[in-house]
Amino acid sequence: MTGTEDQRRLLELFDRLLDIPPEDRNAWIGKHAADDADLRARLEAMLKGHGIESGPLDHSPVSAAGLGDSTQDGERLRALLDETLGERYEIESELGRGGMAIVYRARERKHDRIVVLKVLRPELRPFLGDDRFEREVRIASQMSHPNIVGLIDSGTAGGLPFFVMPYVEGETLRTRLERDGPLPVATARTVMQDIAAGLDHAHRLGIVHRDLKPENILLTGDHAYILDFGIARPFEDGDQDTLTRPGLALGTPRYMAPEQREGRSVDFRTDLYAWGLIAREITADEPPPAWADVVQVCLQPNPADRPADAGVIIRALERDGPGAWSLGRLAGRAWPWTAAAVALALLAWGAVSRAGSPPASSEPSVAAAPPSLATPFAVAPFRNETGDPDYDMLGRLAADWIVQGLQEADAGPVVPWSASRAAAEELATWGGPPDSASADLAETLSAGTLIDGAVYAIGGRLSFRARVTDARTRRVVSAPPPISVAPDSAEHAIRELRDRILGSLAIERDPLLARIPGLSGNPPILEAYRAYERGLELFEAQEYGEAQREYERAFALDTSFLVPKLSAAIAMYNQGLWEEVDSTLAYLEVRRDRLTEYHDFRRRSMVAQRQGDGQRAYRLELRRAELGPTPLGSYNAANLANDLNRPGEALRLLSNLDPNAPGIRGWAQYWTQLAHAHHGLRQFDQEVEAAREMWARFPERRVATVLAARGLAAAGRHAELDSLFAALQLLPADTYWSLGAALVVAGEETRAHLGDAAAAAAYLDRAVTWLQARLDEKPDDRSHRYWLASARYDLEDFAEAERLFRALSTDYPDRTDFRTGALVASAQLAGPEAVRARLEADGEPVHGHELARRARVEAAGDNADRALSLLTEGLRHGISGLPWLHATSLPDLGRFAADPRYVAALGSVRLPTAYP
Amino acid sequence: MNDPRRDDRHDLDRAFQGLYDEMYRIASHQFGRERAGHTLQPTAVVNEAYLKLAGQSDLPEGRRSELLGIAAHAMRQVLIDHARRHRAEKRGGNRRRTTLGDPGFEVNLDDVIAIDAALDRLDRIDCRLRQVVEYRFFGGLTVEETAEALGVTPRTVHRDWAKARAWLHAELDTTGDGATEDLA
Repeated sequence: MTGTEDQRRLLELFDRLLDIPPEDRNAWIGKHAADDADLRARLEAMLKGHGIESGPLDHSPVSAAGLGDSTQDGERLRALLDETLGERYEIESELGRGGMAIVYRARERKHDRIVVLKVLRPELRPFLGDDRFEREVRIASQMSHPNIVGLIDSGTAGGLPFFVMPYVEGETLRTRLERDGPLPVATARTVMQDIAAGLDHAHRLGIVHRDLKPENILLTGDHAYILDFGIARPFEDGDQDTLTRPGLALGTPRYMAPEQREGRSVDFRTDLYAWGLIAREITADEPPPAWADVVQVCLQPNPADRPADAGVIIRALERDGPGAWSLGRLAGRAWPWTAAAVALALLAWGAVSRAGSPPASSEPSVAAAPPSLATPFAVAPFRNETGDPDYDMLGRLAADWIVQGLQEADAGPVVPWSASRAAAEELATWGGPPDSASADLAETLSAGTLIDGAVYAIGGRLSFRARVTDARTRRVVSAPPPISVAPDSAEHAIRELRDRILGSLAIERDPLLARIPGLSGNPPILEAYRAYERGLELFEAQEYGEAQREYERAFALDTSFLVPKLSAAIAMYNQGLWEEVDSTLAYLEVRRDRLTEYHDFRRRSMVAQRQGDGQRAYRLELRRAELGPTPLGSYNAANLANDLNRPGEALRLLSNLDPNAPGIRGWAQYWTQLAHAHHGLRQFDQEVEAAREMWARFPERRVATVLAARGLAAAGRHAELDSLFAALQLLPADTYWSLGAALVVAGEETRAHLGDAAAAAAYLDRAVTWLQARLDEKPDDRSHRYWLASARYDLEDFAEAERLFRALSTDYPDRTDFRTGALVASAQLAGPEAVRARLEADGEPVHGHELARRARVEAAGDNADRALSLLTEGLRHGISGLPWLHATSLPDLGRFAADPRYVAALGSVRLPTAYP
Repeated sequence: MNDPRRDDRHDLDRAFQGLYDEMYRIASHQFGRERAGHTLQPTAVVNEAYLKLAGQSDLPEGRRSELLGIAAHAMRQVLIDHARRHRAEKRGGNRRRTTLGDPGFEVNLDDVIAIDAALDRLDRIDCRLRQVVEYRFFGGLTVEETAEALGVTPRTVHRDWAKARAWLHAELDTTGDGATEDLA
């Protein structure tokens, strides 16, 4: 019974057997395998295997749920909980099973009290993100309110999330409704007010319930508690797959708001809709006239048409109330603005909510404020909840402006807007939920205090909300009331919002207060900010000319808006427009008191670079990094250190950062600079490791592959290099850091560090073939043209290199690297004299790369002293892209590789030998 | 059988070899990183491979189901490699418990190795049954995903699963541990 045919027949028979009623199966086998004892034994064995309830096949190593049945899972789960949580909790009984969780009644050993323990159903575990659960729970556990049953413990038990909450005697609103029918009006009002008060508290913390329904309302007498707050969230977000998994439909259809049913974004207004439905249900569709309106408004299908916050509901019900409903019932919410308003006219607007603070006394005071806020401050881009992507920009403007206000008020270290913006964009690509995005951002930026907010469109007006959160405790320190304006006066709202936030910080940090009236800048007009943002995008795309024009447009539209002027100077700098740079810097210097210190450091470091003092620029950048504390600051400084040929310092700066720390984790360039530093120190194996790590973490950053090629080539690890190239062939070709680029770099490094001209030529020839084939398809590909020109130059085919570089330089006159290539190739062909006139037209060289360019031109003419002194001079300035220079300049500067001045500037390489 | 990746690639479309390698790499990375309390997820493996190879012409959107199948295959290999390594350690005197999967729902490593070996035998008898087990057991795919990946109805997958499961249980029962000796 081992033949394949026999086995097929066995399976065929078994297939038929499955259609036979279980009780007849043994008889069926006896009949159909009467004369084949072996077949019969096999069929019986299979039938036995079929009957096994839980065999090895039923526990997939990749699925937490296994494939076993639920009773067994339940027993295993119970055993698991006893094993993992037994020290803290004694599980008494199972209270029930919901769609997501299994609920137990348990006794907390330490306090000897009865609690409710909910554990996620094991089969849902695979759908939960890694740390989402803990993050959400951490936020939810901040809530402390008399109308919310909060969490007292949470964690994971054997990989399964669990929550613990107090056991509250009572019954759910659902049970009450089913037993007694609609509630008496007075009770209904109290219950609905309690729910609204709980919602208001949670919403101010940015927590949305998402699954509010009578089953989640617990009644003790007439007092209502909301259950399961913030718990729905961790299960809801995730990739599309998760949302469409059967059995994971969240929320309860009957109480879902339209936006939730349709899978659109959900926010606090979703809860208000559910509130409206419950209000209608418990009054049998006949809410008292005084609050019929507010119920009606809550039930608007479009979230924008619903109340701006739960406070509106509370006030509406209060007006209707018999007076029993007073501020006192809002215990847990502090209302300190009354006294604050008297004390500080500035703060007359400011309602400050402090979660978890003791019930408000009638005389709250500034002295009661919590201890000073932790720094650094970070501001998240405000979320755009208007539904109109055009308003995304408003969210960024608001954040940018608040950052500047904080910098101007000297509030303490502030994470620079550029860093928050970059981090927020990066986080956004992960597609996390908006609330946790703010928390993630605070973590990423190591912020002490986070300011975030959102823009809503309500009834044709824009409404801005903001809050200040202690990033460590996640406690909302202050939440100014929303500001609502007509869409065309958004700038005013942003300005007011900024002043309000600074004002509320002033409560916490008294000395700040004096500075606030000194705040000079108004937010720019929107058109100007829009132009500025376009400039930023163009700059990131390395379109410096275009970026400069947008920056200048921004400044022209609003001349009080100085930041784009500074950005324009940087864009000019990158194009080598020195006269423009200088005049812009002079303009800014006169107005430097209107720049924040942070921006002024940038201005001063540019001035230093213009004066050829790369070292001072480096020191200023280090200080700027201290002022705007972000790991990216150290990265910037490391970058400059590499350009100053101080790889050891760069390595030290980078080694002080933990690559897994928030803020660096998502920063691919960290690895680039690390690879550069290792290469500069001739630690090629470590360089390869850095490049590999970068590739593993940032597969889309193709520069990693070229860095890996560089290190492998320099280390002579040719076999690995070949398999890298084989892998690169599979990847898309239309990128700057293509296979062609990797081949060129491998060729250069092989010659520079191994002195193996034959192997180098082989790589370079392969590069030429590959790049030429791509260019045959797409002749104007700028990247491939550049690498082809470089390969030709490396192969010392100077005529072809010159032709290619010159064409590039004509097509892209603002690219200094193209121009350098053309000039150096010309000098190789016709001597330095032939290009001196062209060089002199550029004016006096100041920038490191200009000096390096001249050094290379002189080297082509074999003028060792001139070349090497220019190179040394250039290095004092810092040469951008220095880590590549030793290899790209082999045919020119390389001839002096034995000269100590060369070694001091570029490190040791081998004297290039002739190609065979 | 020293090369764990030699014998298991029979039906992989040649165009997907590179992708398979990539997924294998991702799955081992994920597995190595997340073994404590986490599970491999075929969708995560596929998504990461997609990110990595985005834009490559071999990866048309519509073939996601096929990719899930390849991911399952890669995951099988990762799990088996892991199981063999641990078994070798165990034989080397390290007697610690060798299991896979989430704590509380662990799977015996010897079972996994035995299933893998039996699966190769099943493949010679009925390739689709082998695929169903591979996708469901090693890939963690649902019945629906398996059906999509194989282009059959969920009903067929249920039926195939029942047959393969019964056959494998019988096979493991009669051959026991001995069947896996050649793998060590």
